[in-house]
Amino acid sequence: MPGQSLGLAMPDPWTLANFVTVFGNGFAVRALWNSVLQSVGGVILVGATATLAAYALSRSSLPGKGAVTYILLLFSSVVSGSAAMVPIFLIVSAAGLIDTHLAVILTFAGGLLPTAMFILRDFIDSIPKSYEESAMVAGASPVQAFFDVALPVIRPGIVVIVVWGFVNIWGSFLIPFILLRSDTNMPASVAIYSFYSEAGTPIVTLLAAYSLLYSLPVIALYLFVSWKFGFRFFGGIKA
Amino acid sequence: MTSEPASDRPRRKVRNFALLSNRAGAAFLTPAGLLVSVFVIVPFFWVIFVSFTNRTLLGKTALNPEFVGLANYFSLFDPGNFLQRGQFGFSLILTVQFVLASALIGQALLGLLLAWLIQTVPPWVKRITETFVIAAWILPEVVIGFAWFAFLDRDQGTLNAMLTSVGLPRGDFLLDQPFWVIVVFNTWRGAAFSMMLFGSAFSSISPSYFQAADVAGATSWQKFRDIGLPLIRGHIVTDLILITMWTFNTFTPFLLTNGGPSYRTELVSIYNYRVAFHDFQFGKGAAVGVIMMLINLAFALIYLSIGRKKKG
Amino acid sequence: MGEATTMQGYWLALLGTGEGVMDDSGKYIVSSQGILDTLNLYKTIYVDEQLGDQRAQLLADGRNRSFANFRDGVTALLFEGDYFYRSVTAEGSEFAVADRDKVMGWAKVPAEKPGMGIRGQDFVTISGGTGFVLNPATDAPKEAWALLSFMNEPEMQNAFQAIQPRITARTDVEIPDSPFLTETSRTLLPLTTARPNDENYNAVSAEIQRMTEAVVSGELSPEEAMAQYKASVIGIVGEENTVSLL
Repeated sequence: MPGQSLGLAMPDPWTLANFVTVFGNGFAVRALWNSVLQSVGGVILVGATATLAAYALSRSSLPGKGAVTYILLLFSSVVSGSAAMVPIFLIVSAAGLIDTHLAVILTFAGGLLPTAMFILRDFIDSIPKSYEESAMVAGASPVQAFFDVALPVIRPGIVVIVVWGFVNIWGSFLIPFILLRSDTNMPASVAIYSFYSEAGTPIVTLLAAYSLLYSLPVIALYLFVSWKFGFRFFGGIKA
Repeated sequence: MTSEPASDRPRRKVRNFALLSNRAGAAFLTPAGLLVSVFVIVPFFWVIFVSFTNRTLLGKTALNPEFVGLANYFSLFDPGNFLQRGQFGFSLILTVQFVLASALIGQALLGLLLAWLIQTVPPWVKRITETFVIAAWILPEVVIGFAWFAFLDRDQGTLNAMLTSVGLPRGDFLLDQPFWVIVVFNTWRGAAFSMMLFGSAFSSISPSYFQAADVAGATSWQKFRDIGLPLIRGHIVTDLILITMWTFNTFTPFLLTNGGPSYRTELVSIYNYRVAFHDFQFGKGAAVGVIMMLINLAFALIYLSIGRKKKG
Repeated sequence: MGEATTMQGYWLALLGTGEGVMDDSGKYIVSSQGILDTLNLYKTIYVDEQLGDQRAQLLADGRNRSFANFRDGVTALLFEGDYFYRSVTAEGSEFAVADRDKVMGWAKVPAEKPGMGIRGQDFVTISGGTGFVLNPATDAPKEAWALLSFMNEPEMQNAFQAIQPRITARTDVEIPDSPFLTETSRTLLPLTTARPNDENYNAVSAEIQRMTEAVVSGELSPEEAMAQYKASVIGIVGEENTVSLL
């Protein structure tokens, strides 16, 4: 194919035509939108449930808290996506959720939650209890103290979780690859394989343009995090 | 008034003053608990159950799987073909070699080297290096897969263009050296984590140690060997266990090689995918999953026991 | 790598030795002179005489590479089905062959020796295709049957042929304006065979691909590859469902 090469050389001449083609391709745009839906849906669910759970782990005296923490930590490192792909498929299938955004969102939420909870719990543990205590002395209920006093203080921790979760879901391939069937539901990571000609050879110029578009959110978040937190905020931004 | 009530008060406070009542705490934990149960804990037990059946995705055993005992495990560990390419034993050994070469040697050593070297370079060099190494780590895996595929292509790849321009022979890397391709690929992709972990470990060492060594005229290598390395030993153990677990479970090389050619890069994760979703043998795939989880469990227990010792 | 490796390659050579993947009683043949002859053909072409493009056999996108080779005049001869004519090399396709009616022809696959092919034929071929079936669990069996009947009326089939001409097994449906498809279907349909309708076929087919790959890459000799195939197929279908002819 003239003008096409598999190399990473600079395009010549410089052109935005490939981006125009990508944006003119309804399927490609739709896939980016699906990635947004699944990633945003996933991080909202992870952010909300992990915050509540981490707060409970840090601030309540539920019996067996330590054991629960230990077991969750253990399971979360044992049950990886590539080891558990069969049961995850079967559970999603039994729930009638194969080929839905919800399936991808719930699966990622469940998988990312344990780690998110521990990061947030450590974060909350490091905040003095006196904030909420003084609110409760002033007559606030524990739940009010959580929403009005603790939540604003925890926010940086939640931002970390949200960014971490987003990058994980946005870039992932295996879970949507297994759980989704129809073209209209595919996120960009899977749909990118449609930038092949009908016969199956990669259309490299489109692939490059699409790869760049698809990578932009991750790059932007990286810049945001390293500007705001200086990138050394905890063990890793990736599972 | 005696002094007793005064000393009593704080103790009672510690005992009773949980900010969240048990009931509210339980309510806060419930949504996360449900999600984790359904998508992490249930799969763990379900996969064990499915591994004892002949469940398939298609055909009559899709709806009515039968209990087959240990048959799936016997077929995985069939001594007749265990070590043949495309069989479980081959994949398992390949994965062990992959973990050894790309994680324990590649990522850890490269990360250690980078972390040590960027300590002494000018800040802008450090920043650029970190940015590139971290970018390799956080960019979406499919993008990285494509970039490497394009880089390594025999006919139009950038690597061969570079080799030709300096007069070296071209290579057919993806066909002739697929194992080393995924080893280098995974080393390159994952070195960032080790670099950051070791970097923060090095920066927590008191500068006075190094200053003293400077006064004594120590070389960089001596400082590394006698001061840096011993003081970050704990971090090295943590790093090795974590990257071993991640590399053992990684599916990303699939995006570069599809497990081929001829199953030569079929890691256990890819083998599991092929058996379950390509050959549709869910029972056998589940058995592979169980074995992977047992291996994960062993590493996780080691990791957690080390973490506990540290805290205790 | 894929079913095309099995069907548009191995099967054709094997049928030319007078055997199939299964025998007449439905047992998988796991050891035979036919398998050995077929593997030796692969060895001759890809290893001993280097007549074929080994990479196209070994790489994941090998089939496309073989199409590109054909388009570019690098490969002269391919084993393919009518799809290769209808779609792959058709005008406007990525692998279109310029001026193909003049430069491209076709031939039947000959048996190993005249009369030695399956059923004593001189030439062999195999068919696959698309089927429309009723789901046994459907809530509306009558309507589904009515729909299928309607779709299979000669009028509908002829209308479909006008949109997408294909080889047809029916004598009451014409293939319009396609000398190629008309000629091939007249010549090949009387010779054709089909793959077994067996739930284990896909797994066995994957073993066939592994067996041919091992020979093409030079890793195993035909005898060793066949022994590996035998062990694997016995593992899939059980020894009682296999037969060894050697």
